[in-house]
Amino acid sequence: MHWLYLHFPNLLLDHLMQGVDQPGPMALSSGGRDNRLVQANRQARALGVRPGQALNAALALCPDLHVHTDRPALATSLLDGIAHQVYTLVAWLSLAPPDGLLLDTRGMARLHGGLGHLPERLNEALHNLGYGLTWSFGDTPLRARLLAQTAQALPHDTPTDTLRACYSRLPLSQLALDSEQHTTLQRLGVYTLGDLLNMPIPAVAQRLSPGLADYLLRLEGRRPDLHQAWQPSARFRLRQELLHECVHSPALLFPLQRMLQRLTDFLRQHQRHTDRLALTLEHRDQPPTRLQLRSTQPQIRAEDWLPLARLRLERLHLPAPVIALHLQAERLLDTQQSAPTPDLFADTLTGAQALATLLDRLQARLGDQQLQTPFLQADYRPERGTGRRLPKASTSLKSSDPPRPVTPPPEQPVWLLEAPQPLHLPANSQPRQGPLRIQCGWWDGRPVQRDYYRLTLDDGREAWCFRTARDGWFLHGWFG
Amino acid sequence: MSHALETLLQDPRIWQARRTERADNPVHASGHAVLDQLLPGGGWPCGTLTECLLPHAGIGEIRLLAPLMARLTQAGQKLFWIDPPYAVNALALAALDVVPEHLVVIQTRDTEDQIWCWEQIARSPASALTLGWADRLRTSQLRRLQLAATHSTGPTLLMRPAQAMQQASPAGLRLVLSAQPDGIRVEVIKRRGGWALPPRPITWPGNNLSHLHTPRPAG
Repeated sequence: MHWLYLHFPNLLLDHLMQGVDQPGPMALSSGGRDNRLVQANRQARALGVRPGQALNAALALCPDLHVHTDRPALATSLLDGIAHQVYTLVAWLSLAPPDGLLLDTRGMARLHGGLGHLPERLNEALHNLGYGLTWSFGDTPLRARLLAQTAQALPHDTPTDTLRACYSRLPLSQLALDSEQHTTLQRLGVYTLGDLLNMPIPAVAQRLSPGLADYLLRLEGRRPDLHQAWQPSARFRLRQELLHECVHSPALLFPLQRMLQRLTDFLRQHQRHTDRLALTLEHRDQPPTRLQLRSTQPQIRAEDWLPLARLRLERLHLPAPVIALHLQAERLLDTQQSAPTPDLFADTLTGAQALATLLDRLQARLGDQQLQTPFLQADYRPERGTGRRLPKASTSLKSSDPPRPVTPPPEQPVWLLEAPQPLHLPANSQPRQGPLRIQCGWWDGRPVQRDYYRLTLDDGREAWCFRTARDGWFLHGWFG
Repeated sequence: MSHALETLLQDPRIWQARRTERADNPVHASGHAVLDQLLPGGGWPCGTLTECLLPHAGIGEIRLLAPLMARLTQAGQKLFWIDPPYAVNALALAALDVVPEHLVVIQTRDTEDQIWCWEQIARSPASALTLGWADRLRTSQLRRLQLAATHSTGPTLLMRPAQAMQQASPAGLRLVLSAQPDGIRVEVIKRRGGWALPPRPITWPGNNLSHLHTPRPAG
C-alpha cells in the first residue's frame, strides 16, 4: 500500500485562527442560498456547533460565533503551502482540494527507514503550520482518502482484509451523495459502503448514476485514477488575512513572524537566498501600502528579517486599518554566489557581519535613499565625477570598481554644492590657484566649458568658483 | 594625611590632576605633529565624543581629519558621515588618499533619527570613525551622543557651529577650529585632565601654492 492521504479537516479555520492570540468560537459557512456550516473549531464544537448545521441554528446555539465564508481559492493556496513542506519528505504528491494532499510513497521507504516512520515525520514537519491533520495509507488513492477523512490512520502494512473491513463499514454519508441517491439506496437496504460495493457495478450505473459507478471502480482500483503531480513553484508569495482590522502597525509583527518563518522554510528548500522582500498591507477601501524590506547581505532567517520589519513598521503611519498582509520575495539568489558562511567559532559578530547588520538597521529605519556610498566615476565634470550607490557590506574592494587614478588629480574641494550658484565676486578678490579649465561633455548634450579658480573669501573659507564664457561667475564648492 | 582625607581621595567622584597623564582611551594619531601634541594622549581619542566648533564648513576641517581617514580606509575600514553639509566629492577624497568606497554617507530627516543613527553606529564595531554634523542640539541630546560614543571603538566627532561654544557640553574633548591660510587653527577649549590650550596653527604639509600660476581674473 503506497498511497498516503493527508486530510486537513479544519484547514481554513486553522489558518484564520493563526492571526489571533486567543481565538473564540469560529465556524466556516458554505455561503450561498443553503447556508450551512462546513467547519467549526474546538471552541465552537464545545458549545454544540457542528458542521452541517444551518447557520441560523448555529448562531442560536452560540450568539458570538465568528462566521467566515468558505473560499476555495484560499484553501488551494494553503494546500500549496503545505505541499512545499511535504515535498521535502515525499517526491510525488498531488493536491486534492479543498482539504487534502495525496502522496505516492513508492521509493520513499529507504529514505525514511521504512514507511512506518513517515506519518510521524510528516506530523513533525507540518507541526509549525498549525493545521489539524488526519492521515491514512490505502491501496488506491480513493481508499486512502476515505480512510483519512474518517481518521482511521491505517499504517502502510495493514493486511488487505483489515483495510477492506475498515472502509466497508463506513456509512454512505461519507460518499457525498446527493439526497435523492441517498434515499434510493436506503430504500434498497444499502446503508454502508460495503453494501454498495456488493452491488454489481452495471446495476449501480443504471439505477443510480454512471458517476457513482465510475467512483466505485476507481475506489476498487479497477479503473485508472489519474492525479496531476504537484511541482513546487519557483516564487514565494504568501497572503495572510487578519481576523481583526489592525490599526497599530506594531501589532502586524505577530502574523508577520509566522509568514517570515514560512519564507525561511521556502528558501531553505530551494537553496536560495533573498535580499529583498515586498510587504503589502491591504486596506479595505484604500489602495494598499507597499513596503520594501532590504538587506545588504542575503539573509535567510526569519529572526534576521523581523527586527528590520519592526524598525520599518514602527515608523509607519497607517492610512487605514490593515485587513491582510501579503509577503513576496522580490529576488531569489543562488546560495553559492552569495552569503559568506558565518564563522562557526566566532561568538561575536565579525566585521562584515556587524557591518551588514548595522547597514540593514539604518536602511530599515531611514529608507534606502538615505544611505549612500560615493565612488569615482570617469567624468571630468565635477558634478558627474562622483557616483552614489547603496553601501555594500563587503570590506574589500571588488575588481569591478574603477581603478585608482595613477596621477594625482588636480585639487578639487571635498564639498560640492548640489548645483552651482551664481556668485557676485568682490572686485579685489585674488585667486589662490587657477585657472583649471574643464571643457567636455559635448558628446552627451550637457557640454561644460568652465575655468575653475580657488578663492579665499573674507571669512577664511576657501571657495571653488568657475567662470563661464557667457554667464559670469559661479560658486561650486568649498574646500573642507 | 588624615584618614578622612585618604578616604575622600578614594572616592571616584574626586578627580585628581596628577592622574591625568594616563590616557584612558586608545587614541589614533592624527597625522599632524602639532595636533598630536595638543590632543590628550597624542591623537584623536576613541570612546568619547570629540566636539569641533567651526564658524562654517569649508575651512579645512576634512583636511584635518584626512590622514586618519586615509589610514583607516586603506585598511578596509568603514567611515560613517552623518548629515554632511554639502555633497561629497569623491575625487577630492581620493586626492587626500581616502578611499571613497569605504565611506557611508547618511542623511537623516530629523534630530531624533540623527541621534538614533549615532547610537546604532557607535554600538556597532563596524564603524572605524563616526563624523556627524549638527546645528542645534539640546544638552540632553549631546549627553546621549556622548553616552553612545563611550561604546564606540573608533573616534566619534561632531561638527557644530561656533555659536554653540557657550553651551555646556558633556563631550570629552572640545576643539574650536578657525580659518587660516594654508592650514587651520585649532584651539582646545576642553579636554580631560588638563586645562584649555591656546590656539595653535596647523599648516598642511607640502601645500605651497606660491609656485602655481595665479593670474588675476578679469571680471
